[in-house]
Amino acid sequence: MRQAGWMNTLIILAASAVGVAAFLYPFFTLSPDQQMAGLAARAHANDAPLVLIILVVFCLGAILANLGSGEMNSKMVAVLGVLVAMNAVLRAIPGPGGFSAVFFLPILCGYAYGGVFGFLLGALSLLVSALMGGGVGPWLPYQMFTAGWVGLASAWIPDLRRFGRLESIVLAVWGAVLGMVFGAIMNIWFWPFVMPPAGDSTMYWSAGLGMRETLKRYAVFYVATSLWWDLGRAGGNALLILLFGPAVLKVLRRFQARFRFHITPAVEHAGAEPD
Amino acid sequence: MRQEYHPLAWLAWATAAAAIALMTLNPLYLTLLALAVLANYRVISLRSPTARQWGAFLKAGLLIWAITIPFNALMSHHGRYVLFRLPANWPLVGGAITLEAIAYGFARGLSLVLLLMIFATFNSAVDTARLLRRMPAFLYLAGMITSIALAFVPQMISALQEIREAQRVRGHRFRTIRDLLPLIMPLLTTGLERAIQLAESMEARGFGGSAASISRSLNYILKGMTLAGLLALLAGMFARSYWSRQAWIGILLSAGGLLLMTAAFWVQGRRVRRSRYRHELWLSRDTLMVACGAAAAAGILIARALNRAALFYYPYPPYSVWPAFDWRLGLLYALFMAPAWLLPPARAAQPKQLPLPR
Amino acid sequence: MIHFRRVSYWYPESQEPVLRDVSLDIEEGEFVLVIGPSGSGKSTLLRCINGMIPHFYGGTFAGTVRVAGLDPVELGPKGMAHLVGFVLQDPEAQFVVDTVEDELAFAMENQGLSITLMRKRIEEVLDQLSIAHLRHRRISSLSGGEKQHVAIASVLTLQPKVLVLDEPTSQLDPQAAEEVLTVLQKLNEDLGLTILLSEHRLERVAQYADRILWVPAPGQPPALGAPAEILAQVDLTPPLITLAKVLKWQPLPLTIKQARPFARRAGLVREPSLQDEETLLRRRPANSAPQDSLAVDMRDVWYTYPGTDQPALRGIHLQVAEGEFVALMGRNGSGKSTLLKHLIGLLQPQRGQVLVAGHDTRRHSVEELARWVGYVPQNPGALLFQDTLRQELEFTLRNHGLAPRDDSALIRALGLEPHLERYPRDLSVGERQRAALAAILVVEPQVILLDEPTRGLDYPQKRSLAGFLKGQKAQGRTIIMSTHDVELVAECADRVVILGEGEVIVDGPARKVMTSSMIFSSQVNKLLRDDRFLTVEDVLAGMPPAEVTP
Repeated sequence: MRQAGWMNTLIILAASAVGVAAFLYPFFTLSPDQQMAGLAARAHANDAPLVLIILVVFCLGAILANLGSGEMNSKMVAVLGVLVAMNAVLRAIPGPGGFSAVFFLPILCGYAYGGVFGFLLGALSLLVSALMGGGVGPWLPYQMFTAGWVGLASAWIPDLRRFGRLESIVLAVWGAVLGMVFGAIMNIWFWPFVMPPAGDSTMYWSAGLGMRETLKRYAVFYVATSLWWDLGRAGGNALLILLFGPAVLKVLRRFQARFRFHITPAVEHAGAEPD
Repeated sequence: MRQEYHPLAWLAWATAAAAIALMTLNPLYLTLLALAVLANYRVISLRSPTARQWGAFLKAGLLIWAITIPFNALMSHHGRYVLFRLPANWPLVGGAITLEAIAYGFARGLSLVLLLMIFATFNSAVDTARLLRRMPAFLYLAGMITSIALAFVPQMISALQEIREAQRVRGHRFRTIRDLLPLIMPLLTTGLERAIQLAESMEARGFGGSAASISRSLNYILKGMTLAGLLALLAGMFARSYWSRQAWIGILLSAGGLLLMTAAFWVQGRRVRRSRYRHELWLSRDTLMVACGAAAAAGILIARALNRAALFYYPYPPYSVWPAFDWRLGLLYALFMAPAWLLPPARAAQPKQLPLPR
Repeated sequence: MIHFRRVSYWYPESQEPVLRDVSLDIEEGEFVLVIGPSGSGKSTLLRCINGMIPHFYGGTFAGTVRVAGLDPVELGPKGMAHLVGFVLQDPEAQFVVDTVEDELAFAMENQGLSITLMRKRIEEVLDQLSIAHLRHRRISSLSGGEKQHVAIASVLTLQPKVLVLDEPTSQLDPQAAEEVLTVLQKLNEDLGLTILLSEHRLERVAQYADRILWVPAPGQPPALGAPAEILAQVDLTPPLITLAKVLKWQPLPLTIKQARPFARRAGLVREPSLQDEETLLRRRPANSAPQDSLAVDMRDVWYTYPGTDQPALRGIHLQVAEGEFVALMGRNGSGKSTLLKHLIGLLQPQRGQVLVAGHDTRRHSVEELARWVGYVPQNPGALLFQDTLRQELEFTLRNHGLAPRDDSALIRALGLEPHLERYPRDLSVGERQRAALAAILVVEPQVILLDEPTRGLDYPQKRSLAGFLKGQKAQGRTIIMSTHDVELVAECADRVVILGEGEVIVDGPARKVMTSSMIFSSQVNKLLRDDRFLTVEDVLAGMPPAEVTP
């Protein structure tokens, strides 16, 4: 499964680029024209989130449609289904301080079974958890994207099996980094709704306030709301990987053989036709 | 069955409501829309067992709201109506605390809570399993995985309970996080073992991984189309922000990209040789409900096109902190109550257990 | 209908073939029972019929298979789905969606059938299996037996000509198993469906089968023939047939009905009187044992599960002396498992008191009680997770703060010596079950509790389990097991307690209870109706040797 077609990789990259652009859109609309546009621009500023969400849904569709075709077999579908269920349950178990183990399995499975598997596991487990708990909303595509990326990016770690203990340490560190970056994105999906677009900062905040100042305020907002949450989650995931990573990886690899070997069955026809 | 409207009708309603909610900051219109949504919610919750999600949703929304108002008040020192002042040498928060800043935080937070309310109603009204069956054909594999996962969750929870008991009777005590291992590992292994059996059972019933009969070359063409579409979309987004005077370039590029992708999806969907057992009846009240939502959205858009300031609200000077109100627009917002109006009265004695939003 | 010609098959990375030069022919409309010990290659053989072997498992395949003229090796399971319906063992692992009706549609959706056709077929199948009342139910809310009905229905919607079932009842209790088997018989009779069924419970199906396919061991040639003919060659058969074989009854009777005339002629049948049943019920359970030698003492125990209003246990009084072997019987939901869980403290009585080995379960945690009481849960998969069996044993010891000890006697008694260093999850069903026993019993508890220990085991495995339990009893351990397996009870238990609706209905010596009961009696006892005879050995012990020796 590690050799997903290069086209799939490109599709994921392009779709993710659109996703990132959509997320950071408020920062792009900084051209001087925009600032001159005055009232009209402000009146339009609020359409952006909805349009962007629709774009993100499209990109997610593009990824899911293309990862599916051709490379999937029934074992992968079933194993993914089961692991997605498990991850959704893990997410629902409340840990201390809002911690949830949602990145634990995508990181390990992405590493063991490849990026495509990891992406699907991450993205779909958020979908399932939203469907279970009634969490469908405009934030869902963003969350699916980020959790999918955690799984995808975990496949970038080369196979470290022969280094023993080092393997889980590297994975734990990488998991913590991914947890911080994507945890932040996941938690602040509402920024575009709460915070004014940066392009309009001159009007919305106080006269003459530049982008730098705006960014600073975003940063303060982030520290005040999301940072502690994310630190807890990233640390928690790293701890889980450190503690359980080796055992879980061992099981995943045991099963890998069971659902992979059959792809080219050695079928040999010999013997008589029935008479 | 408890499904009162078609899931797609609800989806259309929620999209229209969310679009409208995001279009204004005027707290009066927002409040009106919130009341309309709340009316729907009340009707739905009498019939839906899944209405409990309301609480969690609203808690999240109120928390963000509760943060937004003081945050904005402390950070933004602009405005005519100064309530009090903090020492100017305090970093960031030092300065005037104004009514305008509070009003702005209030309005922003309200629009977010409203968004949450719309989707809380949507989630309570729509049976997720049915929504899943509306998954477009080109996404059927993702839909399949999701459906397996949803069917597997209850099993997993009972398996977890069984494992917990089995380990306890071996004297396993739960003291540190490390002691989770004897619970996680059997769960994972049992799950994977069952997955293999499940795959076997699926294949025996004619499921073969991808049901799409796509030749290698067509597959490349479709992927190429999707990729080109995504790149066009990306280029369009950049073009729109850098040459905003020639907005049409960006819009054209983006639209072209979306069109390419849609075409690829359509071909992929057509190629899936699978049929679908479930079909939901689309009733006349579904049409009415969608029509109401669409009419309201269209009316509000036209009103804004005619008068650019119609929906405008911005508390800071030079504008007024007091919102404007036009009753004709107000009526349009009230149209979002349609689902509640159009339903026949709820059948009899369901106990009125409204989990009140806290 | 089904033709095998010189079929051989090797699993991937295996040197020895599971099937070697297998040739056989099965006619249309036949009901073929496939028997053989676990791991003999039954499942492998069945999976050749729809192409699962080699398409799903890989490996090397030689020879030809034809099913209604089609080649499963070429078409694969997907191409054979419309012709061969395949039902698996585990009712927990066969469902893709969460409601019954959608599950039934799944196979047809894969074939791309039209909605109108799907609706018609679903209605038909619901009626065929009499499960119309389940159509809107969530699958997770069904019982095991209902799940297997749905699994069968979900392959029947494609209207296959052949139905293949791989131990479909091994995870079910006898009642549910019987219902499933009845449905199969009906499908065979009414629709002329060709059925291949692998099954351990021969006593239930032998009479329905047209022919029996005996798969003795991996790589050995299977034998296909009339039931009486095959069963005469096979060692491990139900007690009735074993008895008939020893007493040389010909033609070999397959049912009690067929065997009764033989037994009557041999002068073995006795008619129990109403008085026997009455005396049994009047007699109160043995309370004579002194209080301090009681292993278990339950006094007026009541328990209601949270969220339900019917008590699961209602005023249970039960005293078990040290060294006794008690079997708890009763239908599903009668409170057997609830009672067992009280004895290990997993559940605490809401009223009354439970003393186990002198310890009040309310004063001790489960983890402490587990030191004195060994509870073996139904599903061994729930507790095995280490890399080797040895580590499993060490894990239990470490939990109790005990040093690794010499457990070779236990390991030998369970026949696990060759598997100590293996991954427990790779073991066969029977071995896994014994591994779970070892993991629990390594701390040498005085009281052993077993919940349905024979589920999914075949005759040899059951026999070895019975032997092991008898050995434990001989060492002075107290054993309490809940089970549906009357033959196991007949072989090992001293005392039978029958529960109904959370109350003790009957409590008495195994022989008395089993003779007076219609359902909870062994096959030999049903045949002879004599409380001296529960097992084949009992009958043979009372016979002059001349009649016995072949």
